[in-house]
Amino acid sequence: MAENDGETIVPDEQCNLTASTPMKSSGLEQVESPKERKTSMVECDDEGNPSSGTPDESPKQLTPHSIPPRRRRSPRRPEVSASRLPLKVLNQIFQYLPLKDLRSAMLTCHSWNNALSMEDSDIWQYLLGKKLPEAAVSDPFLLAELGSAKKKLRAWYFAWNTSDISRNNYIRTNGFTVHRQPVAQSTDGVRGKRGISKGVHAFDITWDGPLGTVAVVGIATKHAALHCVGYVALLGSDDQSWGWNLVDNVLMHNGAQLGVYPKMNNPPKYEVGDKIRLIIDCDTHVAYFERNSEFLGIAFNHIPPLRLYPAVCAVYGNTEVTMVYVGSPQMG
Amino acid sequence: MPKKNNTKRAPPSVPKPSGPPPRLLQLTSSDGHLLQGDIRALLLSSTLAATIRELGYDKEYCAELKPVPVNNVVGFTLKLLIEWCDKHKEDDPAIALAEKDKKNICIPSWDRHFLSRLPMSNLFDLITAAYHLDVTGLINYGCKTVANSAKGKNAEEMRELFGIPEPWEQPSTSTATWDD
Repeated sequence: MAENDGETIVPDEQCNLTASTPMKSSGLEQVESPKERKTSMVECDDEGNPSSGTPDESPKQLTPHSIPPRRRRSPRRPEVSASRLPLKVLNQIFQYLPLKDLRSAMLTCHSWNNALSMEDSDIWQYLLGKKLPEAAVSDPFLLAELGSAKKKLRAWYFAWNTSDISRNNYIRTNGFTVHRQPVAQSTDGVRGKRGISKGVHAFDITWDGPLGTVAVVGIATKHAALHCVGYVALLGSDDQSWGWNLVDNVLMHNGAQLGVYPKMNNPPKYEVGDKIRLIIDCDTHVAYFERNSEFLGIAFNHIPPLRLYPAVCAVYGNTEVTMVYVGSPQMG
Repeated sequence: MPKKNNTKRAPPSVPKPSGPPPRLLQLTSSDGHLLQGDIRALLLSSTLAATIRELGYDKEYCAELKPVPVNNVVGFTLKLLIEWCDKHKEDDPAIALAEKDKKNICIPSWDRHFLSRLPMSNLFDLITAAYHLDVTGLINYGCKTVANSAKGKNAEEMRELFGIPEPWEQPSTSTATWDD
């Protein structure tokens, strides 16, 4: 054994001198074994993953002329690679990354996806505190349905759009509630920040304050108008939007009334504070509503495959509408 | 072996005539290498600091210093960690703790150079070693360095940068095992 060590030291020293920065002789001795192990580990990786090899590494692999059996013994120690970092270390790395890069990190490997799938980890808590307004985070009822920091952060990205709104509406400081100012002879709408074009999505909409003569919830493309003169059921008045007027329970699309919804005799009126859930199934091209978790039937059929935004339009002064995205609803 | 020990001890003491003479402690890495570092530098590791204080090695009158085993760090990585600690042994420990909660920490130029010249696999080894030995400042700068190199890259580029195999080559276990 001693003779073998003596033999391997000499060529390794020469190779290491060229491979790395000049170090002390004692350092060279210490560098010896780990370098060999790393070299053989890199070779194993290259065999399994040719794309992961870098041009810098290949010269290092070629330069060592050590005994092959010793290389094969070295993979006893599990290699610390990016996908095997401790969880707390991973979390600290991810905390420095913006949201777009976190999405890339989730797609990189399983362990990173597992780390980022913990929806209440420090990463999401930090981003939640950074992105959401304080008024939203501190409101105990606004996001109560969403059980994790990640879901609340996602709801923020789907909330009402402050730059896609009628001029008579404004978004309150919590970012999720639209307030209509008391302006006469005006119908005012608002769209969500992010549209959807595939999958199943649910939006919880709560109407606070009186409805007035027009109070429509529904969906709209980005081309649908959000303002017009007079008190009009604007949402659903053309082919770019679909609406359900809570005042008379009438469904509208392309200027035509599609009947009363729910389809029953004397459907109950909307009561202030009721939670309406708008569900858009882009895969089957239908949209429907639930009221306080009760399914009301299909509202709209044959919705074209466009990017659709949740939308409301209102006419009553100082009325407020809150919309919270809840993701894919649970199918009962 | 005795000759090697002598060669190890001689160089560090010569270039530091000013200030108190450094008291060196030997560490045994997981693969059997014997390294030594200034005790003041090693105190940056909370784990090693607890061991050093428990053994009384931080006392000036304590003359006999036996090697301390470090069972989860290999010699090459441990040498890098000692080099980093030796550079930062004069730093205020409150700085590292304050930076731990900051998201926009600024990496000093020496650290940036020290960490950027490492291959990515050695950097991960060093960060993991710093995590096991609880060297807060090194964890902060190491994680920030990794995050800086990952910014703006998509999943494919991240795999290429960090040497992660393609998804179809990754192990199919859905639940990864954590070191914690």
